[in-house]
Amino acid sequence: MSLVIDNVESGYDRAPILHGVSMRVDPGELVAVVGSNGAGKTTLVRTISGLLAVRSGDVSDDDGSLTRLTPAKRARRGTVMVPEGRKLFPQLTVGQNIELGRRAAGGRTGGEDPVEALLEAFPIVKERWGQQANLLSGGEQQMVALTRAVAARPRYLLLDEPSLGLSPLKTLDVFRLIELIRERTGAGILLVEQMADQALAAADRAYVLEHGRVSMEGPAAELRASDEIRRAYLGVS
Amino acid sequence: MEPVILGLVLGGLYALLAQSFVLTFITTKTLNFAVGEFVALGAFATIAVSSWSWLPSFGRVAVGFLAASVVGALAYRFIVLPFTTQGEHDTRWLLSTVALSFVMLNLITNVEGPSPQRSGTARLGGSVDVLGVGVSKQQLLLAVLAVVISLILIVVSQRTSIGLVMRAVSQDPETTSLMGISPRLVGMGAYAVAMGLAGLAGVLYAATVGASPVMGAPLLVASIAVAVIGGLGSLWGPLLGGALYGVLSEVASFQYGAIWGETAGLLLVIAVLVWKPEGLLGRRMEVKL
Amino acid sequence: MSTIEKSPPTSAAAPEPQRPRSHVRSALRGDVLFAVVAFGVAVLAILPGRDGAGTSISTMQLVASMAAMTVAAVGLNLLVGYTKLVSLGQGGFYAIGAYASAYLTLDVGLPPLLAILGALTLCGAIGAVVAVSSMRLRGPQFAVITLVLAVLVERILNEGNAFGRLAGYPNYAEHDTTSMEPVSVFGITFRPPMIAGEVATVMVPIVVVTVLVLIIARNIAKSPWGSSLSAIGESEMLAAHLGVNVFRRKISVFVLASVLGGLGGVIVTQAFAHLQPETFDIYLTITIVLAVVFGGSGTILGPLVGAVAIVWLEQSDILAEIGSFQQENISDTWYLSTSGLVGVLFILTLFLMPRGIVGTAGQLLATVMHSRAAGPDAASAELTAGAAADQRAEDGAAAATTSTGQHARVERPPAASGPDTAEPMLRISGLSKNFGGLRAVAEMDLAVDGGQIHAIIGPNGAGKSTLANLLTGVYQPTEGTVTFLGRDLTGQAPHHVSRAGVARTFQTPQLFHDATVRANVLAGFADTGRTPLWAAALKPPGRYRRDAEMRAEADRLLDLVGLGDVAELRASELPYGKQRSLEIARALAGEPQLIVLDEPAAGLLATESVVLGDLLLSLRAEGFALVVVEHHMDLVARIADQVTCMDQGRLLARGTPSEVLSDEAVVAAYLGKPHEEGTH
Repeated sequence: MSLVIDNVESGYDRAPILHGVSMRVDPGELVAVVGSNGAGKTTLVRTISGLLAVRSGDVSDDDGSLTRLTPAKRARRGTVMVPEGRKLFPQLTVGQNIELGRRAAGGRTGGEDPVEALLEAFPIVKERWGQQANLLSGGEQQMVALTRAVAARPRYLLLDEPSLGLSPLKTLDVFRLIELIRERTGAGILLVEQMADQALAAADRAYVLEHGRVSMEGPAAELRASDEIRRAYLGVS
Repeated sequence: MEPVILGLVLGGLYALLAQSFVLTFITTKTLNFAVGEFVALGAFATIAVSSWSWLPSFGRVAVGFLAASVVGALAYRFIVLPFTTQGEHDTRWLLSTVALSFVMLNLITNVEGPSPQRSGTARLGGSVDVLGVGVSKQQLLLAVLAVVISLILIVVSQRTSIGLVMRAVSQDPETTSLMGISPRLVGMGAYAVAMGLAGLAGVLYAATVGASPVMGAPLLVASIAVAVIGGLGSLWGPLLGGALYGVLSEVASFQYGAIWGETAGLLLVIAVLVWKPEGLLGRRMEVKL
Repeated sequence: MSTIEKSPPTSAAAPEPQRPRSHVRSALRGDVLFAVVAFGVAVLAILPGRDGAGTSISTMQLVASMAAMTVAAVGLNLLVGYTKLVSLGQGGFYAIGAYASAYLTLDVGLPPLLAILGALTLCGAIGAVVAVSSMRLRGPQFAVITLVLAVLVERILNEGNAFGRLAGYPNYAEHDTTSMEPVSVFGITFRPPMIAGEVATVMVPIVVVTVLVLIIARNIAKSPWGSSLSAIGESEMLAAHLGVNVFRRKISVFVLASVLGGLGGVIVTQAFAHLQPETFDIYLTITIVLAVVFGGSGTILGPLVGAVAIVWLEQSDILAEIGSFQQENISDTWYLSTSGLVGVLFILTLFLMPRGIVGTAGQLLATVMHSRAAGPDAASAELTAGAAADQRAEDGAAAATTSTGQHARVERPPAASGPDTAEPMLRISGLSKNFGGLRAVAEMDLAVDGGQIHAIIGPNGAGKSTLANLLTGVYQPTEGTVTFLGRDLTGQAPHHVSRAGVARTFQTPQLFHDATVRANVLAGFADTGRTPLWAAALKPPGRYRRDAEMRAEADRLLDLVGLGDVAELRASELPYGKQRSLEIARALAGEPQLIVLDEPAAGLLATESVVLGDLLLSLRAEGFALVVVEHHMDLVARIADQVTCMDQGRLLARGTPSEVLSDEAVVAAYLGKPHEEGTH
């Protein structure tokens, strides 16, 4: 019962980016994937979400393989992605954005509405409900994007660099929200981040991606304390 | 005053067809150059069932709408969609829809024969007085329909969830797919409605001029012109464009003769494209960082 | 062109001249062969009509139609096939050419040749107007404007009384005749194929003109001018970075296409001596597009093959028979006749044979040839693979005997600015860029000198790419200055920046995927932006010499970057790492002094990254200044002299790689601040 990425190779045109990446996300755990730019983090997320085709290997969730499914189908199955740069629909309101997110929930209804919980904890989203999305600040947009994804009642959530373009302060808020999501939805969260420190502080387990390969994996706290991370980003110094 | 009123009314037919261009362009960034043939298709489908006396007039009109609608959705899936895969600059769909228009025109001509056929369905005979000008009721009907349908489309797009989906797809198809919505299905739906509108226009237009395979061809350029003038990204565009195009053509025709009438409208398109390529009501696409 | 004194004045003098001369010889051979074959085919085509037999009249008319369509298709191919601008208006220019030349002769009374010239000038002028007004448009909007033109022309012809309307032109009512007088030049009358017993002498100039058009189009396609069209078709930004004035070039190609379209119409007038407006409808303009696509857009022979095929299809009985077949066997009402079948053919071509006949055949041929690994290419008189290898051995020998070692590059002009003071080659001062409310780059300074590698690093969103774009002119700075070799480049358009000596590679390689590796490098020469059209078209001897020089230099650059053995491969067949190297070779062809590389190591394997680093180091050794935007820190640590780290658009740290990469602020910017410091 997990989201499994099994020996996946993928890339663009003639550029192979991922060379046999394997990882796993269990329900309720927060897994971080860190690495410098060009390591293949965004490629990884796009491959799992279906926007990029798998060249070999497999991606599967609780119900089986996802590899042949379109992104829309994967979302309806419960593997939901929050893309890099948030990608809210600029001319639609906050409320409308979140409404659209609900569509992927499909049959997964009943029980507490996770969106409600988020709105309570982060009233700023509710305050901005009727505003056009492109008028919000970066941090607010990220909150909305996360809420939108949660509205889909995901079983597995893929977050592509949520801290991008945000100040350290805002990043903290976002990570608080992610923690809340984990608590309230029980979804397995794959957090892809360049800001390794915060990501490792929040996560249970982590993988380090270098040149399209997993170079390290293990408990997040251990990795955070080690020097290896720094080497992976900035080389030997 | 007379040419102004006549122009506004004439613009109605073009506006209706322009609306079909706008609808498909907003959701799929493509246009269907075969729209003239869908006009004819709608007209002929209605004529084909005109002998079914058990079917009320409304039903026959619906047949015309549906025939064009179904073929339109299929056309998107098989003739347009496969030719949009090479990114923003892929213009193969332009060529394939032009080819489609050849095929449809030819087929319709062979099946129905080239001569115009009378259509009695949905025909409002006679004329009515608008501000002192005698206007054919049928044309007025078309103009009113254009306005009504535009308003319906605008309301649907702003206030319904289908409309929300449509606007999402037009702003960002990739992210929409991440929301569990298939942009392909949305595209087919848009084409179904758009071509249905074309068919509907055909039914009503045929009631005045009769149905012939080439009835749509002269409308093609005018309705593209109207769509472009108003702005391909705006559902209000066809109304403004239709009014401007219609009035300008009629006035020029009135003053300087028929040939100048058509030329004036086309020159207006060129002028708008040069000055404001996104159309009068269109929004310039922001250059992304 | 500054490269005549390329060879160093050493003992290499003896073997050197052989190199360009054999290239010149083979190019000349190819060109002459093409011309001879073309004229031969033309003679064959009109042979049946040599005695004016009645039976040959329809054949001659068919040939004339094919010739006219070919000329128009050649023109459209330049737009659609190379520059990737889909125009639906070629039929309009065809009609203008036909009617204007007739009108100027009959109603205005000009001598026929002058009338023809006038008609072509008119086409060119209208083409220029359309091009200028549609400059900013691409795709559907551009197609719409051209379609509007074609429709306008059709309307005017159908309803303008001056043109006789449905009675045609000329007509009894106005001219007392339905045929135009044949043109007479120097006592020779060029009669159209109309009357049995009369030799249709007009066929000779018609096919001669058609062959000349093909030759000229071939010259253009193979010249740097043609490369510039492909560059624009690939990406206007790329073309600008290759030194092409995109605005002017687009207008030029459109005017050229319009003139050729008009010329097709002139041929029709001369061959048929009578014009009916129905012939010049939308169907015609679509047919010309189909001829280009079906024959093979972007190829040299494509328009000819397509025009011949389409005209023949339409005139012959085949399509009619297919129609009848359907009528008999499927349904007598639900069938497709000629125009419908043409439509189906179009769609099938788009699906199955997107490269058209010539393009698909060329692809098959290339695959076959490569699988055989060697063997002469009989179709063209180019060097065989074996001879090419010999050639390279000669080149290598010649190069090895130069005095300055294997990376001889003596022609670099000294820094044009003042004396060799401390003024660096590139200086950026206080550079800022705002996008609306977002400050993407803020007050950046930078100084880079020849023989230096300056790396720019920083987390995502730091403004690195924006800085690179400001450098090459893609964006206009909001504030600040860019000075290069003493010249102020601030806010200059990319093609000016390129011509000043700044080259660039892109994050994803922007190559001509279907062209050979060598052709890609050739596109990088300044000639792409600078060659005048007349030189490209008429190919004077200087052009041959220059082509040979360019080719030799391109091969040298390919050797430099390690692609010497794949010069004949299609660029799309190269692995990613080699595509990068190809981009660098192309950048070098423009003889820059500064190269801006945008994430060159992106997508490369570790081994390829090492090779890239070696290459960049060797470029540094030759005196180039390199600005490298990068994320791969091992590469940066290895090759950079100076590193600038940006964060949120500003300068965060600067120094040697080891200084910057161990700077705490830099570490924090990349990894994020530790939790303890995150509270307000």
